[in-house]
Amino acid sequence: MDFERILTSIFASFIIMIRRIIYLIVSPYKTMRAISTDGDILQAGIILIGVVGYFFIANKFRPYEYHPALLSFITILHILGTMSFFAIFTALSDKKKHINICSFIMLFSYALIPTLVWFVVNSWLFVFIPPPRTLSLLGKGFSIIYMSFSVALLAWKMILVYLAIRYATSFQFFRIIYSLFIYLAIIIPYSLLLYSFGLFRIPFL
Amino acid sequence: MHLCRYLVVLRKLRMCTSSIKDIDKNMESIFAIPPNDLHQRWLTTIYKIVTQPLKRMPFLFIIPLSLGISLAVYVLFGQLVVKFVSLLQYGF
Repeated sequence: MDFERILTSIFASFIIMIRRIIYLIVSPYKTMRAISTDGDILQAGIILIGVVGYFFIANKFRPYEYHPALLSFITILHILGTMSFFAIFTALSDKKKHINICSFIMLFSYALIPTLVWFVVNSWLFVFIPPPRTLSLLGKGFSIIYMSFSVALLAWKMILVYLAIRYATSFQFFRIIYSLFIYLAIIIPYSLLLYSFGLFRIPFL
Repeated sequence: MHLCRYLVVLRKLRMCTSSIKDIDKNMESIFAIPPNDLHQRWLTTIYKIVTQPLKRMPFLFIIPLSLGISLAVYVLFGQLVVKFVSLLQYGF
């Protein structure tokens, strides 16, 4: 009976997650606001399971230098680190005594969706249209389409990250921008370090 | 007859109060975070103009914009874009 209830709960969270992902495309502002008030951590858990699943599947397409479990573990640490960074930043700058960690987890997990989509599409493209690209008309055409796809997802990612910080921290525009600059100042050297160890070519952020 | 009317009025009132509660809830969630203030009125106006179309169906703006950016990058850098795309494809 309990198992049935847990299974139903996971299924319901999965359906809500799918619905919200679609709504994040249509109306990100309203959806992120709804996510910020939600306390269903299972949805964030399903997204993180999706990230772990991606690493194991991508490992089949092109084996990584390290075990995908290690890469998944490091990625989850990144995500937790990102949430903690903004939570600590909020606590320090606003002198808030109560921070809603649940909204941080939910919002930053949903902000991972564009990254996950880009990596999944990229890995499948690697199988179906393997690189390197040639200088033929088709190669150039594909390159332009691929670039615009990447730029579009980057723009979506930027919108979701901005809204995640906005709703989780209640910061104003300028404070969001400078908190992001500080975050990037930490993340860029860290990503280079991971690259030098051969862990990630592009960090999963 | 009177009872029936009373019930209809009661139902309407209940519907009205529940919708008022819904509106209250929505208003609370909207104003839970103060609106963005960029300290200069003209900056706040620009911010509102830029963010307004991104609140609903942002891809209507993002897709043509990203296509334009990609074409501009291709025109500026030419074959480097093709090499960059190959590099990105190995990036996962």
